[in-house]
Amino acid sequence: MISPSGEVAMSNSDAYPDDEIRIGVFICHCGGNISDVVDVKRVADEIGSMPDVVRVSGVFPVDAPPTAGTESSIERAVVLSETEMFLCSDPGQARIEKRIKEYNLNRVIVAACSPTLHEMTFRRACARAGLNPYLFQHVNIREQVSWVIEDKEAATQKASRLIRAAVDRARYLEPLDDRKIPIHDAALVIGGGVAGLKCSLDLAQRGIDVTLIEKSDVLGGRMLELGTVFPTDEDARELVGALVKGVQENPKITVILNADLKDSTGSIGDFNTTVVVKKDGGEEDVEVHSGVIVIAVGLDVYEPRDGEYYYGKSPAVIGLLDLQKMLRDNGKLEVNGKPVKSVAFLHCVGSRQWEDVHEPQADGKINDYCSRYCCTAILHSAVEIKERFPDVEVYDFHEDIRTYSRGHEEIYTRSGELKVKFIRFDPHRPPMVQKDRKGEAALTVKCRDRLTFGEDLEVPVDLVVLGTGLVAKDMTTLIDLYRCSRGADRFLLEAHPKLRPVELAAFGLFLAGSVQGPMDITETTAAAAAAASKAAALVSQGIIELDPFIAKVNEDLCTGCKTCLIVCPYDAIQRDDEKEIAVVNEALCTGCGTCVAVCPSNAIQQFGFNDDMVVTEILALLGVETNSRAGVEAEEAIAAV
Amino acid sequence: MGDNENSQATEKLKVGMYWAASCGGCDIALLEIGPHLLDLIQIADVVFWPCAADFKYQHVADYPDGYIDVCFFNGAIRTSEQEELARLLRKKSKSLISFGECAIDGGIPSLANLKTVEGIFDASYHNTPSIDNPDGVEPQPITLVEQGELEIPVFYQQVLRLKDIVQVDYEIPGCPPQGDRVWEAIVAVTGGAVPLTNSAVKVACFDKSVCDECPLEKKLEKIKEFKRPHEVRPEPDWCLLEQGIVCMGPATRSGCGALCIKGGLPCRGCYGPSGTVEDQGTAMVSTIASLLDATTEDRAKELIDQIVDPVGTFYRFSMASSHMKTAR
Repeated sequence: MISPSGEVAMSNSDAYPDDEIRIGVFICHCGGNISDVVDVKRVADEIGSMPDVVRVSGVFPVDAPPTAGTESSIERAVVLSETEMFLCSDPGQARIEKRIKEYNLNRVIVAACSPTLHEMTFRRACARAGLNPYLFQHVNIREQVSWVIEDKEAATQKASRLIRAAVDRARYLEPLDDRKIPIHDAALVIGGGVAGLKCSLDLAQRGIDVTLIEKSDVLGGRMLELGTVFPTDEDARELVGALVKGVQENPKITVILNADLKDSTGSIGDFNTTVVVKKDGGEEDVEVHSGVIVIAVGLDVYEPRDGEYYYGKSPAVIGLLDLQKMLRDNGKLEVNGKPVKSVAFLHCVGSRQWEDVHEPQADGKINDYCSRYCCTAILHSAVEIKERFPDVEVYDFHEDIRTYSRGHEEIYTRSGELKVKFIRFDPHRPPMVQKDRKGEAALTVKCRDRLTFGEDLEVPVDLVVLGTGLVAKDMTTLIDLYRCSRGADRFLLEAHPKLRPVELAAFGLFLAGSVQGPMDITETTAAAAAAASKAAALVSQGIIELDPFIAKVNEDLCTGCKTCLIVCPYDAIQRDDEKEIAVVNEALCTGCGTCVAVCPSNAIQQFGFNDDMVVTEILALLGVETNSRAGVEAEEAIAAV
Repeated sequence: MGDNENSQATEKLKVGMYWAASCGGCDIALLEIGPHLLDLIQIADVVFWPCAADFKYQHVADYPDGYIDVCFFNGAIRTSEQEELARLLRKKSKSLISFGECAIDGGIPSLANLKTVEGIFDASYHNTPSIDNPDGVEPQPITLVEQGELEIPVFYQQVLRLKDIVQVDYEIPGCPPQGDRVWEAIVAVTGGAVPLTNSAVKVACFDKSVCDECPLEKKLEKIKEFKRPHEVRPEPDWCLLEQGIVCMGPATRSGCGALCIKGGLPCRGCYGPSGTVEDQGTAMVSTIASLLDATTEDRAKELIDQIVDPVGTFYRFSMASSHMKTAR
């Protein structure tokens, strides 16, 4: 303890015994960001005078760093509450380190900005001072207090309450160790389309062994079906051919064609995937061992229902891919050998659907999303037709035109210059395609045009091209094996759209390209390169450290009731049939806490978030002083009579 | 049984049993130790058991403090009389044991905490078809008559647990506790295997939940529809909860040997919360919620709405230990 005279012993564990909980609380001004609103000195005083919580030192004036003199204002021992202009600065961190040693602190609380920003900074500072970094507790009094509360009194009170709760919680903190997971130096890439090819090449260039598996018997994917592609007018097959060649010639890449996913076990760093390969009429299982897995299975093109816009009823109604094929292979624009004199393009076929207008898909849902590639693709084809067949009339029936990417607006402008005729329909009254009764052409497109303020048009055309959207593949096996999350649009969902844009929530699994949602080729390759770069960064570490906040089963309480197995989103819990208890796979657990919440026996706790911490913190936030309500309540009940 | 004044009592243990807000089943349950009753009498004298023999409160009041070695207390605390006896027996007993769920978690009587006292009195004395009370009379703690004051116990605002009133040494859960387990606990406490004084330690049960003793198997399926036990003939050997029959087993302390389930009925939760859980109802709610076969809120609501009387089901025996406290 500290002598009443205020003499502070340096680095003295006799004066500050190890078995006493000794919490240092540091409150940051953030250069006024916090202290302009929150009265940080008052907060420090309040924390320093918490019951059962004793205080080492007074509050030091910001402009006058602590000296021997100010430190003599010691009242009692154990909590140190101080303020600092910028705790994240070098001197700020140095002060924390100094105090840890000086007062033999065994818990540190910093009240400052969001933990996203500086939690790691302060954990590292603790570690440098020899304190386990998980004996650190961060409190956010900037984003959650000073930046959002104008009233200074209210802000000060809230800051004080948040820190008090952290102090109470900190008593229960335990030293923890990061999980260390070795990473096998190889990658599995699933899908041999442009994303899988690009990703494999990028990984191999970083010296990583890649196994690329492809369901079909050829590499190249959707691009093999395309003609020239926007915005560069290059030949799709040539572009992808270059990638295929690169992959085939790269000794680091093993390609397995006709391969189907069968099973996958293991977790980050150590995946074992079983692939069924069709060979000479038979099948054989191939095992692939990898540290990471990249999913690049791409998507499907929307197949219009029979009769949708007359599709399937007339050979003159085709999809965009059919048109590409026609332009590329025949070099002619004709239907049943008859030259086409007029073409109508229809936007948003199978995309941006409306609940009351469109029939739902097989899963009962409509496709309410934008497929993103089609506006540009349609106009690109329209321009190609106009340039190659100047006499052909081209009509464009759209709800909106979204040529948003670099180089795409120019295609829209060009189509206008080439006199493509634009007709804008009301999404609730999409155009109708039917047989042309007058016999002028094969078909008639009926539409109320919003650009001419509701004029009802009947446009006879020889060919209708449906701007078919993009849909997610049937990925049942993938989703089962890797517990992928899907969005409402059925595409796979990344862990976070901005912070972890090419990763699945489960560690070691990456998404490359349009498996995540509609993308054009440019976007797909960019996404694939990003996935390759993230995956390579992981593999090249050799060992990764994961935070220790995972779930742990208490064998004495677990009955092996399997409730947690059912709810775990990551398949991270198995049942040990011999002991009849649940066991958490440390590498698979992401610390989501779902099992902790569902366990009806409290047999699962999460490191860093055990019941004591959480309950104490909540009680402190609510201003409940005591953990035991029994006595108080009995008195209340009796007094109420 | 009976008065021990003249026996060789100095060597024999003195035991007591009292009932407060309870149904009387616990008194019967104590008899359920069967032939061991004779063993009990060999080692102990019963010095207080109003249900079985004629003892007056005054007898107890006259005992010296700590006179009773082991006192079993069943029933919750709803009235001033029950509180008074709880305090008296605490004073007179070396070891005070909560016997059964009412004393431990409030039991079925504590479901009354879902109503206010006014609501209870209204139903009991006014608005029930079978009541004939034209003057609207309600019981009063004190009534003045010619001869003086008449006093009846005061009715408290809520049902409390024994440990809300006095320090409790051990708790024997169950509604009622199972005989074999009870005998084991009696042997342990009376035989000196455990100290007489402790802090509400649960005995005659296990920490794990009823699933541990349950013979049925899970298929890892989610719940597609809730059904009540009388509406369906459950598939044998398959977890009742997965079949949509609300079974409190996952959130209930074991020790009963999964009696109800082996008898074809779901667990009703009578051993109270398992492990370190305080609030049995919320433990069960979070479990059931995560087992619903629902991906949309509407579907989840549709399923939840099929559960009849959720509060009464999930807190059937433990409302006094609930974080929800009481109606106000």
